[in-house]
Amino acid sequence: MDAPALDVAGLSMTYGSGPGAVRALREVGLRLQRGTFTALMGPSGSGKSTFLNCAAGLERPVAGSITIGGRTLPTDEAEATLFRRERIGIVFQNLNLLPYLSARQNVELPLRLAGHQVPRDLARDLLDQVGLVDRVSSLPAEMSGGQQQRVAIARALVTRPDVLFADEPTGALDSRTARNVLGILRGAADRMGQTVVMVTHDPVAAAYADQVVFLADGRIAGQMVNPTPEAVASQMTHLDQLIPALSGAGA
Amino acid sequence: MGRVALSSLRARATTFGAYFLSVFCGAVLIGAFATLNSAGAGDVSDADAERLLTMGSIVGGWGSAIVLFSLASTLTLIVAQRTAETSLLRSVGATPKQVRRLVLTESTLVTLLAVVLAAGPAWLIGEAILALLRNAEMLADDVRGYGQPVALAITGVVITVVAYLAGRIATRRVTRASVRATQRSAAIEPQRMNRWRLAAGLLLIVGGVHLAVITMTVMADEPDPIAPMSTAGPAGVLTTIGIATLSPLLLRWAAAGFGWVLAPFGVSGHLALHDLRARAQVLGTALAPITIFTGISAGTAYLIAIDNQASLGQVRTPEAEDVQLLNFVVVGMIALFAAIMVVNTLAAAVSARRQEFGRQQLAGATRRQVQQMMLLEAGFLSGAGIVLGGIGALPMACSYSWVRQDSLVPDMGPWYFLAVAVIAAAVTIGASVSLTRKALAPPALTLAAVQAV
Repeated sequence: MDAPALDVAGLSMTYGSGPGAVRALREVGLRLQRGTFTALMGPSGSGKSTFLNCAAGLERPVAGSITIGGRTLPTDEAEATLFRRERIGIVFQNLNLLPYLSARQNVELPLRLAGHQVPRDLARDLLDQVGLVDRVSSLPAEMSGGQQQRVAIARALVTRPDVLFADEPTGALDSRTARNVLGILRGAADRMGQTVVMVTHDPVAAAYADQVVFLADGRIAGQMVNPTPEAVASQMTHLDQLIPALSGAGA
Repeated sequence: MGRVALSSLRARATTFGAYFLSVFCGAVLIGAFATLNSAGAGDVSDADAERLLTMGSIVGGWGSAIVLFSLASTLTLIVAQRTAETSLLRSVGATPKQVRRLVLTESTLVTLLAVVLAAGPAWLIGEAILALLRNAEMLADDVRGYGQPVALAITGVVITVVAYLAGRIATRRVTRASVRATQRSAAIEPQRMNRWRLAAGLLLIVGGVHLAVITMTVMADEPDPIAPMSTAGPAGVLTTIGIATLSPLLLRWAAAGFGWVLAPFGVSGHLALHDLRARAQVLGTALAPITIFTGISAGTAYLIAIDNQASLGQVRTPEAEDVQLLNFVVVGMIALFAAIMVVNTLAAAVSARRQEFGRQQLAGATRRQVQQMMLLEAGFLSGAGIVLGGIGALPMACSYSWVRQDSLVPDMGPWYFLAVAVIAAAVTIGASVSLTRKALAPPALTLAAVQAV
C-alpha cells in the first residue's frame, strides 16, 4: 500500500534542562500502517501521553521526525495547526467539546474552521454512526459523559484524518459506557479504514486494538499483536518490575 | 477555610486583580468627594460649607451609585465564573455554608485591602480638588480639609458592606442548588435573569424618566437657569444604571435580533454569535460598564454644551462656574472609572475563557481565528453598549435641552455622542484584543487543561 499512516523516527523529548531535566522520550521509533488500531500502554510517567502529544503536533519534540500520511509534520505552530485540523483527529479524556455549541455544531467545527463547505448531512451521519442521531441539537451539558465522548469521536472523524489519536478516551467513563466507546473506535478502524492510536492504562481497553505497543521509561519496551486483556495485564506487571532496572541503566 | 481562601486568592490573581482595581478606584473616587463633604463641617463660612456639602453630596450620589453598581456586578461575575470550582468543593464534602464563607472571606479580604490602600490617594485627590476650588476663588483661601479620617473610614465601611452583601447574594444561588445542578450550570449559563435584578433595573429606569419629566415641568419654572441641571443629571445617571442592570437580558435580545451582522464573518462570526447567545449572563457584565461610560459621558457632554450655548452673551454667575467646573471634574473621574471597569470586566471574562481557547485550538482553530472571534464579540459588545448608553443619555440631554432651548433634540448635532462612542469602542476593542493575545500565549494543550477560574 501507500505511505504508512504514521511514521515516527528518533523521537526524543526532554522537559526542563540541567540536572533536573526529565527525559520523557528517548529516540522512539514507530511505524503504523493505514487502517490499524494501536493501543499505547505503559506505567505512569512512561512517556505514552508525551508520545501522543508530539505525534499529534500538540507538543514540539527535542529531536526526531514525524510523518503523517507521507507528509512531515511542520514545526511552526501556525502551520502545525493547519496540518492538524486537516490530517489529524484528537480525542481527549475530557477536554473536548465547546459548551455553547450543539452536538452537530461541535462535529462541524473543524470543517468550518478550515473554511470548507459543510456537507448538509455529514455531521448527522457521523452522529448516527456513533449512535447519537437523536442528540443532534443537544448541548454538551445535556448529555452524559459517554455521549459527549462519542460526539468528540464523531468530531475527530469529520475531516477523515490520516490518524485518529485518543488519549485515555475512556478514562472518565464506567465500564459499560467505555465498552461502547471502544466499540465505536474499533468500528471506525474496521468499517472506515481509520487509523487509530489510543493511549490507555486499561488492559481491557487495549484488547480492542490490533496491536499493543508498550512504553517504559521513555522507550518502546515491547509489542503484542492480537492482544487479550489477560496477556496485556501480565505484560504490564512485568513492565512495572522492569522499570527500576531501566532507569538504573539510563542514569 | 482561611488558608484555603488565601491560596485560592493566589491562584486567581488575574480575576481578583481586576476586582481589587475596581474597588480601589471606586474607593478613591467616592473617598475624595467624601472628604469635600467633611471639609464643609470644618471651620468655614456658611456659604463655603453649603457649597462643599452640595458638591460632596451630588458627586456622592452620582459616583456612589455607579461605583457600588460596578462593584456588585464585578463580584457577581467572579462568583458566577467560579461555579465549576465551588461545585468541586461541594462534591468533596464542603457544606454550602463553608463554600459561602470561603468566597466571602476572599472577597472581603480583597475589598478591605483595596479600601485601606485607597485612603491615601483619596485624601490627596480631595486636597487637590479643594486647592482647585480655592484657586478658582470658589472657596475662601483659608478653607482646608477637615475630618478626612472619619470621611474615609465611612467610605471604606460602606464599600465593604455593599461588597459583602453583593457577595452574599451572588453565592446564594451557587450554594443553594444540589452539587450536580451547579455542575451542570457551570457548563451552561442560566437563561433567566434574577427577578430582583429585573425589578431593580426597571425601577431605576422609571425613576430616571420620572426625573426627566420633573426637569421638563417643575424645574423649568425655576428662576435659576442652572437648577434644572440638578435633576436632568440624575435622570440620565439613573436611566443608564437601570439599563446597565438589565444588560444580560438586553444582550440576549441584541444577539437574537442583530446577531445576523456576525454572519458574514465566517466561522469566527459563527462562534462569536453562539457564545454571545449562550453566555449573555456573563458577557452582560462586560456590557454594563460600556453602557455606563457611554451614557454618562455623552449625557454630561450635552448638558455642558447646552448650558454653554444657552448662556452665550450672558454674564455667568459664580454658581454657574462652580457647576461647570464640577461637572468636568466629576464626569472626568466617573468616565475614567467606567473605562477602567470596562477593561477590568473584560480581563476577568477573557481569563475565564482560556480553557475554551484551548479547546478551540484543539478542534483546529488557529490563534488568528480565536482572535477574530474575540474581536467580533468585542465589536458587538461595544456596539450594543454605545446604543444602550445613547438611550440612557436621552433623559439627561433631551430634558435639559427642552428646558433651555425649547427643543427635545439638542442643537449641537451628534458629534459629542460620536466622539464618546469612538472612545468607548476603542477602549473595548483594544482591551479585548490585547487581553486575548496575552491569554493565547501558552500552548493549546496547557490552555485546554486550565481549570475554569
